Amino acid sequence: MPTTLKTPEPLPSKIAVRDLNFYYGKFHALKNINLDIPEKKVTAFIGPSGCGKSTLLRTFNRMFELYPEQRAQGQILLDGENLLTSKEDVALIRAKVGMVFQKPTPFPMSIYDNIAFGVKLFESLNATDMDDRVEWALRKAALWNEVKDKLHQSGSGLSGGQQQRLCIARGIAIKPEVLLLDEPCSALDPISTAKIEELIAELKDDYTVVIVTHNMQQAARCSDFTAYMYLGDLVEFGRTEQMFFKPQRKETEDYITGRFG
Amino acid sequence: MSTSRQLISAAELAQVRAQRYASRKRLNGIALTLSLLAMAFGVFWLIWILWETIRLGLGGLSVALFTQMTPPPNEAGGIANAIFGSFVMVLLATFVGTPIGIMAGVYLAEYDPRGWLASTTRFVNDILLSAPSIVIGLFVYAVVVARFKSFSAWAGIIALALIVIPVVIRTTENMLVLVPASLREAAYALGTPKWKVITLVTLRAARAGVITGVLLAVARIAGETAPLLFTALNNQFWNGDLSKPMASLPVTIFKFAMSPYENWQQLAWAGVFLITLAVLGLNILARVVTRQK
Amino acid sequence: MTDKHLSSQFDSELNSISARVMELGGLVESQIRQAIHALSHFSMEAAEQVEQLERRVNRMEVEIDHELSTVIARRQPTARDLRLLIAFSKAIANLERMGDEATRMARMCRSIIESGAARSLPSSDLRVAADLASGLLRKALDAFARLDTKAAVAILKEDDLIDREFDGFVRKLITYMMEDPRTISASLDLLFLAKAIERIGDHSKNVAELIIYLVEGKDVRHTTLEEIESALA
Repeated sequence: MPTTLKTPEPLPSKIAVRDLNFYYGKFHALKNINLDIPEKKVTAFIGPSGCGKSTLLRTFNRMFELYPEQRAQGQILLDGENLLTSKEDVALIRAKVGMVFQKPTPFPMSIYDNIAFGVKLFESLNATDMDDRVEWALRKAALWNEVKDKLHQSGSGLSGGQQQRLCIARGIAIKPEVLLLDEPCSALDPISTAKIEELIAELKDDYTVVIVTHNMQQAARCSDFTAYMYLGDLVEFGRTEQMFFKPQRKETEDYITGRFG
Repeated sequence: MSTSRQLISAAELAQVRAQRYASRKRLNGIALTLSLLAMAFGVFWLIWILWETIRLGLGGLSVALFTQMTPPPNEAGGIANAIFGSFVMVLLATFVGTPIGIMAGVYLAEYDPRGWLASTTRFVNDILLSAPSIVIGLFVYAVVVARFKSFSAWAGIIALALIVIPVVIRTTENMLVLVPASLREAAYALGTPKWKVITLVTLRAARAGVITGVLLAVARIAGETAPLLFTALNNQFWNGDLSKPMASLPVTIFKFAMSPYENWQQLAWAGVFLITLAVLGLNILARVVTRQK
Repeated sequence: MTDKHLSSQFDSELNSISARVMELGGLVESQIRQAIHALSHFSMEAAEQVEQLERRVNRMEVEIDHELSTVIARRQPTARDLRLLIAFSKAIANLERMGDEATRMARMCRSIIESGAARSLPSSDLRVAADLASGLLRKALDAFARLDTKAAVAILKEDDLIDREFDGFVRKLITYMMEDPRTISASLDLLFLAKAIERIGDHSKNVAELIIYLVEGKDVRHTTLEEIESALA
């Protein structure tokens, strides 16, 4: 059922989704999604397994193009330009729209090289500038103090929470405009999760953040706006406080209060 | 033993458990003993082979082995030309075969793994992998040696490379496939172009396995005789010219071991010892590389 | 309170709290009825009953509040469940105050009976208002159990009635006091009684506002009736 839910207030919209339909082969995974992601705020996608929240997230940086049987129709406007039909090289789009995944995936190289990897793709910095950028990214990700003495050790020697923050630092280093986080804390313990949630609160000063989470309390804690999805439909979208205090739709309330999973 | 659902007392339950445990323990003991016997049997033969090799080969070890050429029967000498020939041909075959194998493996794993070209390649590769090496030798004979009307080291190198390539393709593809998709996706998400994802991330992540594959291929061709029989032939004298026949350890061993001359047989055993040592060394190196990374 | 949670534990916790709140409501109701009986029949016994119930009521308020905090800590309730628990907490506070008012009424009755002077005063008028107030509490508890916002609005209107009755009664008392200054002390007792009844009505009104909060998510305290009706339209 198509629903048109623009931002509830006249906030500038960073990503505007219009009539988006998505298919895995013949399976209609996203149905007529219309949504505005507000700029420099944290938006959370929640919903039961298989509702399409990760699918929707992965359209924003065209990750689905890696898999031939997946296709998207409709418009995804990043600052007014349609991502899906843009003539721009997809690599440049991905430089603007970064993504951090559920499983921490440090590259098989040193911590320094991990961060520098993305930067080298798009900019040619001299050694000092690169050092500065690496330090900046690691500070932003609240990881600098823990790794500043072992920058040339392998990234895989870090703990799970540190690896995830490394991946976030790697994503930030190329200075994107939007950060997509796909269940970033589900593989982590509660303390690492709390540190990353702190980080998310700081990141929204500079980036538009979209986070997919299956943990409703995390969405309630971290996000400014929440979108509830079910079976490929966008059921409700609104301010998080409102969603968790008095949602407009009964389906949303049933999900949030645990009346169905 | 009753299977009815009565309430049995705790004591009865303990007794039943103890009996069952005792019979399981007996069965376990029998199976363990049989496995140990089987292992001992296999290890016994391996040790005997190694023992004989060392016993018969060690005696022939000397400086002369490495400095003198293969002698005529009943004269003193060494197998320097054979060692050199094997070394050169194996090295060059590896240099030729490895890049081809890795690139083909990359294609199979990263570009269109389910396409018709990939499936065909895999199928043909599997056949080549298990093809008898003598067939490969004869093929190279027909195509290269007969064409150019001479036996040469180049033909030998080609034949050995044709054995290296399928092995490297197979191991490279397998190792690349083991790299988790999440790692590739993370690289793509940064805006990395495909070829850089493959070279800087995927291959790097798989490098231990790929190197192991190459080392194992080298270990295999180090001991191959049949492909060299019809291609590089053999050479009693020192030869540095790749367009002429070249001596190699396996062929030399073949010739000397079957002969009735004692000094030749001694040299043959020394050669066997050297090859065994080399293959053993390469396998250990492959293990070390895998464990480190 | 209607459809079930995935966690039946949570459901049973909510049901248990709900039942106890209703039980508390029932206790306070009987306090009020006993207080009215004491007033209309000048019965010392009834007055004592009220004071006995008071201790139970206070204890229940504390226990229910403790149960509420436990559920909030463990279940992190949201939306409907959150509003329900907040409504419960405020409702029992209102009920307990009503109990306090009833106790005050009982004490007043006692002192009036002991002084003996009140029989000539218009205490029967009080009876009408008291019955209204008691009936209003019953309606509020019913509406709360049924989550009936229409009934809640009706309750808000009825409380207006009680307020007007109270004003009328005050004017009557002033007349009596002016006619015969010897009745002033007894009149003041009656005045405080009337105030207690008026406050009981107000607390029922608060419970009605909580029903609207629970069902609609709108906090209608300190707003006029017209604003409320248009908000619910």
